[in-house]
Amino acid sequence: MLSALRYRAGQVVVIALMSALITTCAAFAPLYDRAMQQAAVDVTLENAPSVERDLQIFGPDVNWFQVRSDPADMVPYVPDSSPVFQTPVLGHNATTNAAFVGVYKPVTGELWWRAGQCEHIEITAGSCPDASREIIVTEKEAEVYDLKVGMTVTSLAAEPAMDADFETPETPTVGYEIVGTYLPADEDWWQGTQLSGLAGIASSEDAQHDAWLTDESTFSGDTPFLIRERSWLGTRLRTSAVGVDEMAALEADLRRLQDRVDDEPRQSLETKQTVSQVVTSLPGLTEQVDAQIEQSRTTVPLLLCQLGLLGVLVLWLMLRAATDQRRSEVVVARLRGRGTAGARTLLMRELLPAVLLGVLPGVAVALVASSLIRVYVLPGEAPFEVRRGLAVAIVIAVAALVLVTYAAVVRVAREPLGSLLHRVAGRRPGWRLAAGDAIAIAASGAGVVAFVTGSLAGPAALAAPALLSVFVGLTLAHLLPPAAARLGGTLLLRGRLRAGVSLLDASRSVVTRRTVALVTVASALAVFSVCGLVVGDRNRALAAEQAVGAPVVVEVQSATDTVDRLTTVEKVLADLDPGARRVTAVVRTAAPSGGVSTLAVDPDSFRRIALFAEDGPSRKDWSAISAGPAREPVPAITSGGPSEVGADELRVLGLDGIEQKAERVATADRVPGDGPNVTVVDIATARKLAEPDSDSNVSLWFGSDDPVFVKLVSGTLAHEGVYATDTRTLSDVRQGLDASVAAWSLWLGVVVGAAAVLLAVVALTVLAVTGWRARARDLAALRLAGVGRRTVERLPAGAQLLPVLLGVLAGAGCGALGAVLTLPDLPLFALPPVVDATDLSIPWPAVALAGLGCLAVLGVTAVLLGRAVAATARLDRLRETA
Amino acid sequence: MNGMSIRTQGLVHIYHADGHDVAALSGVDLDVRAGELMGLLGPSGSGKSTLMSLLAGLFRPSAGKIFVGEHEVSAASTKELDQLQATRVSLILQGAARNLLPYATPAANVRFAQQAARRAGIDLPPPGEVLAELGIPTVADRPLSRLTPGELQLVAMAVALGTRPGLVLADEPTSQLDHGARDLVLERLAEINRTHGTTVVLVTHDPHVAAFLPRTVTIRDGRIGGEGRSGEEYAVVTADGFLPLPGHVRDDLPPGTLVRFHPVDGHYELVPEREGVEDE
Repeated sequence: MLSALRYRAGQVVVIALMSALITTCAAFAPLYDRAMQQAAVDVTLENAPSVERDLQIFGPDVNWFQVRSDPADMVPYVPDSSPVFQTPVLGHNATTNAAFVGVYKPVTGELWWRAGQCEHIEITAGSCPDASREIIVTEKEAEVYDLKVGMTVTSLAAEPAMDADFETPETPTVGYEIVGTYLPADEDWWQGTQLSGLAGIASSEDAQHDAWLTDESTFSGDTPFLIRERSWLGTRLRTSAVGVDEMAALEADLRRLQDRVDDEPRQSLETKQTVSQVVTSLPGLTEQVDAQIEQSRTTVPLLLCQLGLLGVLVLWLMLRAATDQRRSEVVVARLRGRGTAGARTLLMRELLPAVLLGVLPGVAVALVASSLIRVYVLPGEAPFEVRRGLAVAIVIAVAALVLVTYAAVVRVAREPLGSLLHRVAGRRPGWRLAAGDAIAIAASGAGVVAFVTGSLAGPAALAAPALLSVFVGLTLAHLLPPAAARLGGTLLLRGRLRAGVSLLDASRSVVTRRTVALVTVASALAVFSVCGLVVGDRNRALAAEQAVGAPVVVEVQSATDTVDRLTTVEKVLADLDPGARRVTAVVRTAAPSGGVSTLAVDPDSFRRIALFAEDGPSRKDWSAISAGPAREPVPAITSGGPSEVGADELRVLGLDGIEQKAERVATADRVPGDGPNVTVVDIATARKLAEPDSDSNVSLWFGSDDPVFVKLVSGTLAHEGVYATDTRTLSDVRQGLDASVAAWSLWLGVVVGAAAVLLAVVALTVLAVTGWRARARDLAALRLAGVGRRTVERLPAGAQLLPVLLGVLAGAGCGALGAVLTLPDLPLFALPPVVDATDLSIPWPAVALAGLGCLAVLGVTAVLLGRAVAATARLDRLRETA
Repeated sequence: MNGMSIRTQGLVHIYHADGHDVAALSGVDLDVRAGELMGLLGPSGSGKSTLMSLLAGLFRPSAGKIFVGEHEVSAASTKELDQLQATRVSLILQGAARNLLPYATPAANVRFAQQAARRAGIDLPPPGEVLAELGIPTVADRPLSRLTPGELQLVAMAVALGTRPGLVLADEPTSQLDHGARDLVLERLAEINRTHGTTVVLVTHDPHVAAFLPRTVTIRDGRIGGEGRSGEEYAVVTADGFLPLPGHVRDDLPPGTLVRFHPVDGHYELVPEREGVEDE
């Protein structure tokens, strides 16, 4: 066996490489799939706010049972999957209702104790509270409300329960001594709870203070029960310890805990007095991850399966060539009475090891490639995993390799001895449709019809490009030779020797048929993959633009009311950006129950800065809503469905939250940065009718992601008492969308496309090597017949180029048409966007570029191979017997 | 006696080529005694290679019967033919390399050829001994690429003879060999024929080879056209009474010529009827 392998070492290496490529495809699918799933878990947990991914358990309000509970009693309720949780932090929560000197509204906020809290803040003055009713407040709050260390602030405690006479005693008060000030630190430890940023923010009823931190003893002893006083347990998720499996286990545990807490009628009194609420969004996050995993199960196997099938087809061609080359060895075995079984064994013993030789390297390449992608491409820290899926994929790949080898071997081993004695396998002349081809054409044609009629949908629809290209490729393969023969004959009659003979040469070669079919399938895969990638990229860009609205959007807040805030903002923007070209203020008013929101904008600057689609409102539309007299109806651009009053009359929210009459001057498919139902009005006109109230938000929309300018504006506003509370950038949102299984799956398309073209190159080479001797004899005969050397040298390249050109054209068409059929079923987003900005139109420039790329690579290959064959066309070839 | 006899009766074989039927053999009756050394002669396309292939059981005749020893090859099943080829009938194809596994040494080739027979329980000599019989013991483990054409042909013969067959069919075993190698190959074949009683039938174009053989049968136009024994050329009367004319006589007697047989002193004279003779 070894001597046989050594004898054709080069061929063994090529076969092993092809088998390695097929195995790599098979093994890579589950590895990449799993790595994407792990990355999706990491990204989902990383992007989720701490309050969503961590676990908080609250005890009941002490006022319900008139008894305080120990937070340590809640520790046993932390789920069994506790290794993924850090050591729980115990605490107490309460709400205050304090009176501050100089503030004419009650000041409300949170009062907390957390075990070890002072190690996770920066104390800027005074000390950590260590006695009952001592508190430490934020430095900002001390500044806003002019609080000093040593002062005592008084707050209402909880309203006492009714006494025996059904009288409610007077609500007690509690005096808290300020012992220090702090700056928030270690945000993770605080599990996303907001310690600061509230001081100074006021509503019509009250003002707010930042979180006060106190000593544990405040929640015991002689302190009366406080407002909404509850024990608390918080535990942070060890995100690095959570993978797909842990996530699933955790979800089950948390759902059980939630059910236990929610099932009040069956709870024991002890449970009721210990736990009342579980706060975490982990089950929801798990659902998000599950949805992504489902998407990966659609895209990855189907992309790689199509590539794998192309690989198997090329391997089949290689093995056909290899077994044809061993016909004389089969004859030797058969002549010595070994029969077909003996001949089969002889070939299998030589070819199967060559094929299987590629399996381990193929698996190794898949492992290395997936590891590199895991480490360098995918976000998160997906671990190295070898799971059952990999074993199954390898077994399937090996089974496919063995079957293909067996089929190729049996084909020759079973051939009658008489026909085996011919050194070259006989070819059937003329146009014939082999049974295998007929079945493949019929099956793929049926599949195409099913797609077009819509009876085949879902994940299987992703096979459309492959099926379509197989159908078209095989049909072309059977139509091309007679067409080329007819055209070649006509050209010869007209005296165009080279073109005519090239076509005739192409028409009589079996290589032409195989080439056109293979090139069609490979080009279709490449073009389809590129289409998927470009369309996915485009739609994530559109979704990001729709979600954010502008390159940067900053929400602002202040202790003052909305009108003052807006006035301050407008003044600062006028100073920093007089032409309103870089930033614009937007006031958004939304009904509390949702519905149609109103965006009040400066039409001129908003038009320039907001990321509308190309078919968005025209300059004329924007002019139509620009500042006019204070009258109703207000001219508006609408998107979605504002409530109609009359035929031409709308009702939209005014900036004060009260409905006004409006007049639609234009409609937009979507308004960036907002939901599906939006009305855009001119801010000047709107303000003449109603000033914004406290439910209206003010945001700044920046025309470019210029951190320096954004910081300048934010800093200047902060100086004026208006603070940025939330900043969203287009690039961040885009990154978030890119970090999804849907996007990663489509990136795989690039690998598939490149590999498909590579496989086609290998196939062309194999086909050329297989038939070079016969072609060389044909060419030598032409030379003998007086055809010039240069003409003869160019003939094979011309004959090879024709099927390649036709195949690439047909393949590009199939890939584009396949994309039309398939893209609606292709998962583009982890979660469907709120406003659908999807654009599934075919990216023709990308299709053209991919097609040209295929043509360049395969065309050059065909020409080089043609020239190599032409170089062997010496006259002495004619002495070789067939 | 190891040799196997050959008997064919009305052997006909028709090829289908380019939509036409071509008769390669048209009623061949041939008898070869066990242990005989004979040659099949004839021009290209006369049907001798087809006859050889039919005798070896490579394909079935269109009509007629073939007996090799007690086996009716023309009616044998594939399994029986495999068994026969594994143990009793060896064919040596034209071109020594076509009979050998290119990557195996001479010894390994002989061993490979012997495997099926050994599996059938037949006791066979080791490959080295077979190669020694053919006078090439030193090449046993040498790569085929380093053998001379003569040595290569002897290895091909060793492969065929390794199973101690009763019939060896050799297609042009001396073509492409120099005189020395040709004579050596013929000597070895004759020796095997003498030593083991193996029936040897070989196809040749070479008059020198034909002269070496005690019996030759000439195939012409798919029929037995003549036979040579010890340097004498004979026409052979077929089973149905036809008598093919020798080549040089056919030139004188074109198709349609009328002839008479006259018995003269224990032999026959063949007298053509010339135009105008009757008029005289």
